[in-house]
Amino acid sequence: MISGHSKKKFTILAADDDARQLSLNSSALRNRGYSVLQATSRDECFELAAEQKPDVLLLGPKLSGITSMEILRQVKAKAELSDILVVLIFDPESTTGGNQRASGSEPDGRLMRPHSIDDLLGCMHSMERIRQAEERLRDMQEMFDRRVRERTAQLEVINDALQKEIAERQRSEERVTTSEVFFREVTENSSDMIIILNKRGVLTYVSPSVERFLGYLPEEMMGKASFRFIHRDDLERAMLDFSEAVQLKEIAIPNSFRVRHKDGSERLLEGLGKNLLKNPVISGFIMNVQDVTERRRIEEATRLFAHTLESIAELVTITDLEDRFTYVNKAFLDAYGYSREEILGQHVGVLWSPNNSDGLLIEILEQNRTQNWHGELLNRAKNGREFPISLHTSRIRNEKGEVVGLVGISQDITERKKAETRLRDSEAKYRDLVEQINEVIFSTDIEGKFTYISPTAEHLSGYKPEEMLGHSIAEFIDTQFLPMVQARYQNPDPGNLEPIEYRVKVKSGDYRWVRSSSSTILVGGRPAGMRGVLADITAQKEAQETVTLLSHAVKSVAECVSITDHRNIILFVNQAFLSTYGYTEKEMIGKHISLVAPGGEIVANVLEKTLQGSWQGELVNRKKDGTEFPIFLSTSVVQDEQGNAIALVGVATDITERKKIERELDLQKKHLQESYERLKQLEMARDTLFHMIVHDMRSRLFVLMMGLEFLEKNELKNIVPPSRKVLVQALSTTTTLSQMVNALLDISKMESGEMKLRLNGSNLAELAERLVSFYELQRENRRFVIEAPSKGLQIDCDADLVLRVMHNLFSNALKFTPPDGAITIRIARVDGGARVSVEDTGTGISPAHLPRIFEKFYQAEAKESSTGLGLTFCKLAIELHGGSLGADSVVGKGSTFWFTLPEAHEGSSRDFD
Amino acid sequence: LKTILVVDDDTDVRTMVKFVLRQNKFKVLEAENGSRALALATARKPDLIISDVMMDNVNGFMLCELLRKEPSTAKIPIILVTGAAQNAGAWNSDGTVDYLQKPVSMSDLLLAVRKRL
Repeated sequence: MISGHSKKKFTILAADDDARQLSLNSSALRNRGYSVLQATSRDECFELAAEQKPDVLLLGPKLSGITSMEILRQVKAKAELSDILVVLIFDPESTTGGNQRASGSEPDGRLMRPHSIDDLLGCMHSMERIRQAEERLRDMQEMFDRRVRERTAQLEVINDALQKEIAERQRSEERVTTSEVFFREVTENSSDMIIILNKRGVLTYVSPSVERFLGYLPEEMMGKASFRFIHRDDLERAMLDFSEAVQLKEIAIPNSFRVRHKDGSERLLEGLGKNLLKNPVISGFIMNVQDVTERRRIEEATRLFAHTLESIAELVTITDLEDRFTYVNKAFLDAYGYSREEILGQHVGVLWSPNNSDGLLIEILEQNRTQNWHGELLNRAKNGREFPISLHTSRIRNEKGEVVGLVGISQDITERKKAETRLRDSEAKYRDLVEQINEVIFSTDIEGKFTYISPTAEHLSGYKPEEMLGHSIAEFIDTQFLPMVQARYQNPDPGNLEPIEYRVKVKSGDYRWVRSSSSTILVGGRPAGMRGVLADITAQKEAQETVTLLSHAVKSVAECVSITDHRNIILFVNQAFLSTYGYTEKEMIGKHISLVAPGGEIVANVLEKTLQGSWQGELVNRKKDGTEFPIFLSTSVVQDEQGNAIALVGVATDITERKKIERELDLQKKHLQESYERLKQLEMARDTLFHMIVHDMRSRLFVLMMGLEFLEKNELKNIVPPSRKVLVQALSTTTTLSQMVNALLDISKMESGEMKLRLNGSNLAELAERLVSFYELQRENRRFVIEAPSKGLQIDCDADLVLRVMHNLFSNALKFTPPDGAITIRIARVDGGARVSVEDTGTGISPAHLPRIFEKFYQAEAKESSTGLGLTFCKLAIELHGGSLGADSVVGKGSTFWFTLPEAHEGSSRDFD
Repeated sequence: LKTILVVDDDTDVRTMVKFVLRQNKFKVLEAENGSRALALATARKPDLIISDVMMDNVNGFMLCELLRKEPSTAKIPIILVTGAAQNAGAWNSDGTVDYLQKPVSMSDLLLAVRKRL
């Protein structure tokens, strides 16, 4: 016993109207050590049952005149008594046998009077075994419940710890956001310079801003050939362009060259030249030159981050403060099936599945206002397909720390798809950034009114120069920048060449960003106005904003993002990476990735796969403190426009918890399997018990039958006539009992597969005729009908078994059909075999009983001399033939029992139809 | 008078079979298990043996095998009577072992006995 229950003595409550039987049974049971309670009325019985909670209720045929089946029904109907095992003692001579099947309740054991003491004790022994088995099952169930509760509690604790860790990570991330060095550099501005060349390319004028451009003072460059400053590789092109420009008149030519800074570094300058050689004042070639090194760097960085977001397998979105999409990456578009045009500007609710719990959307949106959100939810693609995603959201802040949007990183967790192997080129969107900048040259009087403005102003502002001349510059400036510009005019400082940036309102009503490099015009030593160059920097500003947005997005995500070069040297890691691995940025940048990923061969393999496109899988990584942990890594390659790999992006997720849960699930599965094995053993023990009981029953029946038969054959003449009836009844009951035991044995053989079929060609119509003639004496006024093909129906089957099945079905039909009714046996050929049905015009079977009639010992209606095993036998015998058995019934109209027999072998049956 | 050895571990069965056989003019010997039956059969050479199958010690099948190995008992006809649920198998190789399933009626048992004697 695995039970921990205290050992209670096995208690039996015996109840019977017959006081003599009651005391006989009680003393027999007491002698065997059972604790026995007695009751002689129904009320006493229920009182004792409720008070003493006996293990077994042993019921005689009647109690307070009520049948034992009715008492059984009442006991089973009371919840507090339903645990008690009930054994019924039947009296074969009593008419109570007719009420045995009054209700759906089944006794746990049956005894037929007269029974021997051994029968009684044997029955009680079985009840003890049943009780023990029940207790073991209950113990196992409790143990399992307890384990589930413990596991749930542990998982809750783990979950709390995780939540705290995430919160801590977010706090540290926000602290670092404002002090980023790398990205502030990117936002640094360039300025302009003006140079004039004579027709031989010699510099005749260089504006003072050249010092910030190239480190030279204007006087160091003036009088020298401009070509000596140009990079050797660009020299030939520059000279060709220049000689061409000299030939043309009044045409602006934009161009860009690499130029050496005084400190030796290389700068990329872009100039807009104009041939004014014929102009008597200038008599030269004037160029407005801009340093575009930074702009190119920003473009590069934008491309890198855009590539990064486009490349990763996670679905990335950026939404504005009204929860509308302003950016989605390629993985997002692939997963949801929308095009970019369709989804941008849409509210996030468009993806929402109505199958999520109520209020979850509101909860996510509300929480995003103040903190990050992480969890799982159902989303819906454009085609209506729903799939679960795991979503991380983080707020994006601008340089001032204001929240400007929200980045969402999600994964389709239905299945981790292989990332697309090819990266898509970042298209027109980012190419727009490489827009030509048109310079505007202007001069104003001391009040700020335009005295000259070059024709390129129309390109920038939409106004023609004549529309602007005489108007104050202030009319065109966005009012919020006005004080800054006015300060320039109020404190004209001839030495101040620092360019300023502001927004101007153009004719269409839009705003454009300009950079103004201006200087004071001195007349007689007094300021008389300003002149300068305006450059349209709107595209550059937008590019800066994009790069800020994208870089913040990459930095903000909860996944560990790393960017490495083609030799696996770390170029960038985000905050989540640093907090997960425990390193500082300084400790990681420039190091080989093997710092965190042990196992050189695997790392080399991942690198190789990634360079071919992308890679996904699980790896073991190492933190700074040496602990190793599992990650899920997805990598992809970022390519430049020529298709060269410029960087590798890795997105890693710590899957320690997931692994742990997988192990837990394995363990629980093992526990379940063990429970199942134990139950199987119990079932086997029950089978063994069943065989023992059948064996013992047959030996006893053998003795009983021989004795009664002997008396009937040899001593009947010595018994007084009235008593002879008793002997005949006893013999008949013994015969029924032995049939029942034989049926049990057949069923047991068929269930264990020991029954072998003896297949012979048999004519089913002949079998039916033999069957019907057997019942001729019991026919009364009923009509017996056989409907079969005229030559019968030949099929391979075990004729003995099939005839017994037909006997069972026919005798059942006879029992339930009134004397003026009809029974029809219908034999027909069906696809692949034969179908036999027995139809009666009897009482029918209620739909509640119909599905259970093939169960062992189940009896739908009370009729005499039935074993409750007949239909079980029929079903098994037909299934052994590979056929099937069923019943249809309408209450009040009658029942149809049918079975089918398949063709045993092709050609072995002869069809006479 | 023909002698019949009745082997069964159940006293009630032995008593009833013995009674019926004596009423039909047979001399009856009893054994409660296979090894006792083997000893009796060797010593008393009965004309027929009626044996149960499921018994402790030496069961009915083993008893048949042992009797057939011993030349003095090899030819004695045997009737196996079993209440077990499993099939008896082919214990009729030389045609001298009959097989009946409990509960067997008195007339069937007597029929089987008279067929052999």
